[in-house]
Amino acid sequence: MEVLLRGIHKVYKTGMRPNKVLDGIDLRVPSGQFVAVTGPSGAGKSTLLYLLGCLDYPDFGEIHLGNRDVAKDGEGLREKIRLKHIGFVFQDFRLLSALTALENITLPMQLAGLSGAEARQRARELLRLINMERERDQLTGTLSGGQKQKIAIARALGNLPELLLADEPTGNLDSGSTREVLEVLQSINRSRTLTTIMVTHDPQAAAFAERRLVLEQGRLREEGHDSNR
Amino acid sequence: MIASLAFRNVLRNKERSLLTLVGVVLAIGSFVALVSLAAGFTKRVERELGSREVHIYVTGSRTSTLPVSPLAGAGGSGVSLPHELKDILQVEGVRSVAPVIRSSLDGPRSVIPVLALPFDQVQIVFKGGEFSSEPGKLVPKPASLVLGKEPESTPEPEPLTNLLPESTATPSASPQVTETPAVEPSPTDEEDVDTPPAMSDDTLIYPALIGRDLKQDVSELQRGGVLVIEELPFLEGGGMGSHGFLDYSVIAPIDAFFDQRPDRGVHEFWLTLDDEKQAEVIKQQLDARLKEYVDAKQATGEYTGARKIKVLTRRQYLASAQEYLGYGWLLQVAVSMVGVLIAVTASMNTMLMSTYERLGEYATLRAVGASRRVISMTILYEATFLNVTGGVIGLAFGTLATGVLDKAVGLLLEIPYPMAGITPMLLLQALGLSFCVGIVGAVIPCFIVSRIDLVEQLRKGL
Repeated sequence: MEVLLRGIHKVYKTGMRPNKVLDGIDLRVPSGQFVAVTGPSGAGKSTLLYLLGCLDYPDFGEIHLGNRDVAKDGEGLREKIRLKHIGFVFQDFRLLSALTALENITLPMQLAGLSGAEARQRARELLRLINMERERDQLTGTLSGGQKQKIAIARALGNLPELLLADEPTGNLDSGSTREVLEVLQSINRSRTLTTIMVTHDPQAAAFAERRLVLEQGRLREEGHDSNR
Repeated sequence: MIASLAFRNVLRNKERSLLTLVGVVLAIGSFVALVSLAAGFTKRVERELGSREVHIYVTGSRTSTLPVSPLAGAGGSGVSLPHELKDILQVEGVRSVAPVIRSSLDGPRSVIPVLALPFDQVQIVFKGGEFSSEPGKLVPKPASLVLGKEPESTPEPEPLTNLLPESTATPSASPQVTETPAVEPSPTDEEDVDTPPAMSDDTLIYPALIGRDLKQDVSELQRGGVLVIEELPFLEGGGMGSHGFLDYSVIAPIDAFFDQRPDRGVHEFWLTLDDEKQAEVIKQQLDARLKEYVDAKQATGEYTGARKIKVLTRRQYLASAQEYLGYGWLLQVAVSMVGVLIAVTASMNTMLMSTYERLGEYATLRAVGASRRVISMTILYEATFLNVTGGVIGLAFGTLATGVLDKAVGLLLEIPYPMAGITPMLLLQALGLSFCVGIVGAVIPCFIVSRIDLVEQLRKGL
């Protein structure tokens, strides 16, 4: 899925002063590209991701996912887009602790209307992909940080999305797990030609991406592009 | 999946869920117990009224229309109608007029020697026998009462001694026993008065009953027949039957008694018509006659002030009784609703706490594509699961509580028979109520979740 942003503005009103977070962002991400967005804390990286993920609306501008400007869509339609076309990976995993690893992965699939059997079958394949078949029946509270994030990635992939958004996916992980998770993201991006946009403050993590952008003072600038990755 | 998630959410905070469950159990239990009392009583009233072959009722204005004990005397049912009205009420189309006093079969306080049948069997209780008096007190002669059934269905009278426990069936059990008198059987309403049902005269006496607590024996006597009562000890006490809360309260025509106590009024007159379709026409005739009667009495100064006599068709009488019953229902439901309101509050509180704790989770669900409807359904399932589980346990608890309450009410109000009636419909209503408690408890949490700021919640972390 191609992603196109045009003139995105976003202002948060915190206290008396408005905080201009995004100040006319223009961006085009071709389908299948793995993009890392870095920048200092508070630069608006997560805000950008939430806008792309249809979780928030811009004050101005267009957000084209494929051929559709989702900034103009209502919440009902955006819910469906989130469910079927976008996968989201969070820094703090956001797994449901009451459910097992397998159930966390099947949840979005079942929300999308897959039968229990189909969802479980697909979830088992994803667990194989991230090499966590043995942990499938464990409650997620018992897993390590790296394992949780891999389960979160599998959950994000359940409905075969065309866009994967990762918000600091390695922010809570040790170096070993960080590498493991990034390799999974990279591998999935390559094998599925899945447009992947990852927000990170870690330059080493960003180095796993094909294209690197920096968000500063509300604007994006290109930092590097390596099409051989 | 949503249901499974809701179920697991309930189990995540077991203590809180348990407390909510207890609240719902108590609320539903009290609803079942209280409403079953009202329902049981209503059913009893309606069954009795439906079973009577009475087409028109004539009552005093202060007489309550509740037909059965324990509340037959409620509403100040003074004995207000003069017995002489009986002749005035005898118009064309009226087959029989039966004066009625309500009383109870409870030893010394009773005034009328009658036995109760199950209300669905009672057609009418006929007069029988006669009384004679001595100065200062009434000394009854043997009286007989035919306990009502239609003549064609009335079996040949059976010796009551065969129907009763042997230990109490012996005439010598009572010092008041006398030899069997020759008793004329009484007619039934559809039987020619000149051809009373056959009865044997040697085994029908059961004087051991006199003055005893008949409650345990009445179930045997409910089979009908003729009972000869030799002596009426309650009359010696001189006490009139109070409208106590007693079982086997009987509504009986008692012409014989009025022969001895013409000054005594009656509660009601029961009229049986040749054709019930004429009830409305006959009612109007009776209204006119009674007005003339009252006017004449007032003109002679015999009555002062207003004296109201009501003429009610069967349907009107039932409607009037139902009005009384409605207040009872209202009271019972109102009391039980207090418990239900507490349960709603508890449920809502639990769901609110649980929702606030899980706003982050709900935001995550939204982020991965769950719609607001799905999130609301999760909350509804959770609340419903909790409350319906409480409701099911509450049904069991309520059934037990009904038994206890029934006994307690029986002891307090002297009602020896079980009055509460737990019906499948009541259980369904209670279950529906627990479902509603769950739904209402989930309304505010659903509203809150539908309005959460996704970005804010996602930034907060879980």
